[in-house]
Amino acid sequence: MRADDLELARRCRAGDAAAFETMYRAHAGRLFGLLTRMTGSAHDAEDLLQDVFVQAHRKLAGFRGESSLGTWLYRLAVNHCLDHLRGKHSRMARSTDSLDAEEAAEPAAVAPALPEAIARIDLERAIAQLPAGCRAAFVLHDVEGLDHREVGEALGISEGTSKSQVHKARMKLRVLLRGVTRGALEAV
Amino acid sequence: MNDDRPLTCDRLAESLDDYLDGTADGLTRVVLEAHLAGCPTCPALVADVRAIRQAARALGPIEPPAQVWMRLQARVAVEAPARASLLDRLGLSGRSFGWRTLQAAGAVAGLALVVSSLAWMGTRLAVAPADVADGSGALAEFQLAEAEYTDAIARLQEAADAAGPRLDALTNATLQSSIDDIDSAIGDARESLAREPGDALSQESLLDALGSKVALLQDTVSLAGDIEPGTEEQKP
Repeated sequence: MRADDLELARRCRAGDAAAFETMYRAHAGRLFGLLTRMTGSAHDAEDLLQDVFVQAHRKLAGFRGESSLGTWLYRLAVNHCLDHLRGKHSRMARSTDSLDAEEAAEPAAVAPALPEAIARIDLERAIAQLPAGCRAAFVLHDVEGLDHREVGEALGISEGTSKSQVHKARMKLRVLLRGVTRGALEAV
Repeated sequence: MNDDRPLTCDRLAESLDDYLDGTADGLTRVVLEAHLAGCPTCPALVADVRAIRQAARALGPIEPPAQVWMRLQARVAVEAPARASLLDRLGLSGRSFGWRTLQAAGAVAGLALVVSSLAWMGTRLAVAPADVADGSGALAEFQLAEAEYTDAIARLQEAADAAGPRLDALTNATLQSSIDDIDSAIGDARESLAREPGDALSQESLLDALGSKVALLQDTVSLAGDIEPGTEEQKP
């Protein structure tokens, strides 16, 4: 796999457009999913995905095959996305803070449980509605499978904060998804 | 959870991941299950978190819209030869990328001016001492690059105007908004240059803005399928 990656990177560096497209087709879906969920915006994710591959094009000379090409691109994407979110947060600090401070109402004790199989589209929509901070932690932990130490390192927060952010995201998702379920049931 | 504090509903979350992952130690597991057996609310929480985790982990890739690749191609098409040319001018590539070579390689309309722009950058990097004193060499190169940008923009604008009706209203509005922003930046840079024609920062700002406009106009034309990226051939 690494030899294939190195060869693909070598061809991209040499200006082989077909190789660059192969790299894009192989990894764009995973990265676009990550970026869409991290930002909560498909529009922002489109711009970021382009930026990531332009950066990759510039930086391929530094790819040594120490990790797979997929992992290398994934790191580029996470770092670029976090830069974007930090910039966005600093520009919109007031409104974001108020969003983050807004606690979701805890569901009533007797509320019906979520269905065992949550519809993908419902979950995607609910993730997009999460506040930026806890959304990033949730996506990296629950969707991407990073452990709390890795999430903490990526986001520049402690492991404990990662746990609390993921918990906060799940509680908000629970409320959002129950709203969807109730709406669906009432519509029947 | 290996402390003497009683397990409350609030503290359950601390160990929930380990519990659901099956990695909680034996004592934690016993305490947690004892709490769940007697708590009216936490079993539903655990079931919901389990369902959310499972659904989240099952989320797969999302294929980006086709236009993302088209825009990316356009950006890389402009950038790659320009970088190669810069490396060449800095003596780092060992290959020669002359204008005719680039033209023969099928460069799109904006590429010539990128090379000119880089020639200007190269001049600034390697300008002769006598020219530094009066700045005439760099200024002349800058004016040449600006003229070529302006010429290419005029040609691309014609193609983009023709392509406009093929794009949907939202895309056109988005592109126009970006063009307006770039035009504003071009205007600002030209105002600064009117006051200080030799100001290097304003010259760079102007060329950056003009380059952005070229790239956006190329995107517009590519989006409409008017030209294949990397060629000047019109589709039938």
